[in-house]
Amino acid sequence: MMSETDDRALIAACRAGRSDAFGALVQRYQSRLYPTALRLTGRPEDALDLLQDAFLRAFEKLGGFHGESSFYTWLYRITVNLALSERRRKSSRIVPRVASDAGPEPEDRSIDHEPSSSLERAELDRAVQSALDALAPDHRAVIVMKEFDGLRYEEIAALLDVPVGTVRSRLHRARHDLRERLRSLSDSADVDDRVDEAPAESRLAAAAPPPARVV
Amino acid sequence: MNLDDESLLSAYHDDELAPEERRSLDLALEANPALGDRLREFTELRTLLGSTSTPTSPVDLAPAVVAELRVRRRRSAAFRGALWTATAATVLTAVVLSADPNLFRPKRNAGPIVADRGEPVTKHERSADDRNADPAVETPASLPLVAENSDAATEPTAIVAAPPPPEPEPEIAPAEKLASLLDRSRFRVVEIPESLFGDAAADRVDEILRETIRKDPDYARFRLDAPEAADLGLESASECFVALVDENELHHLVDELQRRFPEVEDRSLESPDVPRLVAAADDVAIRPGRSGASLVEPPAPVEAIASKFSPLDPAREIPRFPPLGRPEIGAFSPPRIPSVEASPPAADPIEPVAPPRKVALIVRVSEE
Repeated sequence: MMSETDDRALIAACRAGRSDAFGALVQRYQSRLYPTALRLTGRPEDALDLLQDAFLRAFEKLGGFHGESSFYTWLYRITVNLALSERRRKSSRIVPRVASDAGPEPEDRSIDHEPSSSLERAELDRAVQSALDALAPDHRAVIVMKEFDGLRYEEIAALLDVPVGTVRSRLHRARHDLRERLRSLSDSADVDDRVDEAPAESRLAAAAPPPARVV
Repeated sequence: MNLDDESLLSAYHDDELAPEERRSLDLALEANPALGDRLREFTELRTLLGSTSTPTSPVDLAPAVVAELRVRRRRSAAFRGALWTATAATVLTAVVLSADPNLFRPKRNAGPIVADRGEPVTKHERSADDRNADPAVETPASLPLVAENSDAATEPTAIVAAPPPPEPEPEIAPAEKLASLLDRSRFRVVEIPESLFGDAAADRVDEILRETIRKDPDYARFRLDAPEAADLGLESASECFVALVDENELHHLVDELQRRFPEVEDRSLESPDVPRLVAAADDVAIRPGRSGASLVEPPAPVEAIASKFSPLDPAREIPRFPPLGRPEIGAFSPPRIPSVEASPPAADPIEPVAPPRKVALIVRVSEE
């Protein structure tokens, strides 16, 4: 079981020049950070790139980590801010990505061997990720931090270095946008009679693939 | 309900309202069923998002991260070993100049260039077709045809009847030469305290300098004795590194340094008289960058360049770059010279030879 004491020992070893100690920290926190990275970037390969950059950046800045927060929180902050700066950098050429067969694969699920509920969930994952991808980077970040990672407004504000009121308004707008995008996916899926009889969540998940991705 | 109210509803849903705000919303919800519908939408959205699966990382990043760290460490150690480690770093000063980008390259000091067949060359002729016709020919931007201070630089096209007699080039002390090159410049000075060279910041500082050198700009090295160093706000004699860097690039680098390291001070407003300080410098060595390097010495890899910036040791002779010589006129291909008749009339506007407005100078000062 990981503990802050272990973290401190590993960090001290890193500062003493032991790269392998940092490898242990990477192994410890990669799995916790990966879902956030994936939801922020939308693609597994981008998520891995982001995480690798975040870990390297963290190592560079290790001298500036004084333990005011947990190491995980510090890493989380670096990851989110790196994702945001990267998204902003690319924003001029970003067109909302939509679900397609080539879209993100949240989990490696074999259709042949998974029950239909898993298939539906994979479709839901895809639809939700598509809707997330279409949000503005700032809005996506607050949604991910609130709805998936369960952070409080104050924590989000501290991580993004913005006032709590900004978090509240961004979150509200993000929810509104997300809801609208999911609803539009749902509406297009209503053409399919099968989907009409499915529960609401499945309807959203089983949305027909929107227009082809334009990059 | 306006947006503010709706964001309150969103905060209500997240249990992020103050008690009195929450009570107000409770009353509003009782009175307005539509608000309840909106609230249910938030709940449904949360349920929907919560029903997605939690992705798992497909690969273990640790080996790649550790390998990359080791590579960076080796690179950093090799570079610092050659360039920085042996000297106790105290300050990095960045100066932005408004000057010719070819500052450190040899310049002709007088008169228009004359082709080897003895015909006169006008600025207009050189600046248009011929530059394009023979890319090997030095362009006015890299080798000004007329010295910056020459009156001819502002004159209309001049047809010269005969080649001017070669002027003897006076011997100029390197420090004076460098000082004159830096004259008529304006400066931006950024100081990085010694403490930043002691931890992870050093890697970034090294990285910046390495990137700077790798781009092979014009650069020079000189040494300031204590009195001049004191004018830079330093306590001891110092070795300085001067490089011409793109201004925007320098701006971003300095901006990044200042953002990451609040200790970095922008001393632009109190910039010392750098040319005067340089005029008093010792051990000046000037080396043009890639485009001018062939005139002086072959391009060297970054490690070789770095090795030239060896720590100052009073008992050791500091390596000098070969002295800059005046380029032989015949060393480069003469351009195709159009006939005088074919030349445009003198009244035609001269195509301006516009040097880039600003270049950057990085002075790295290290404690002796």
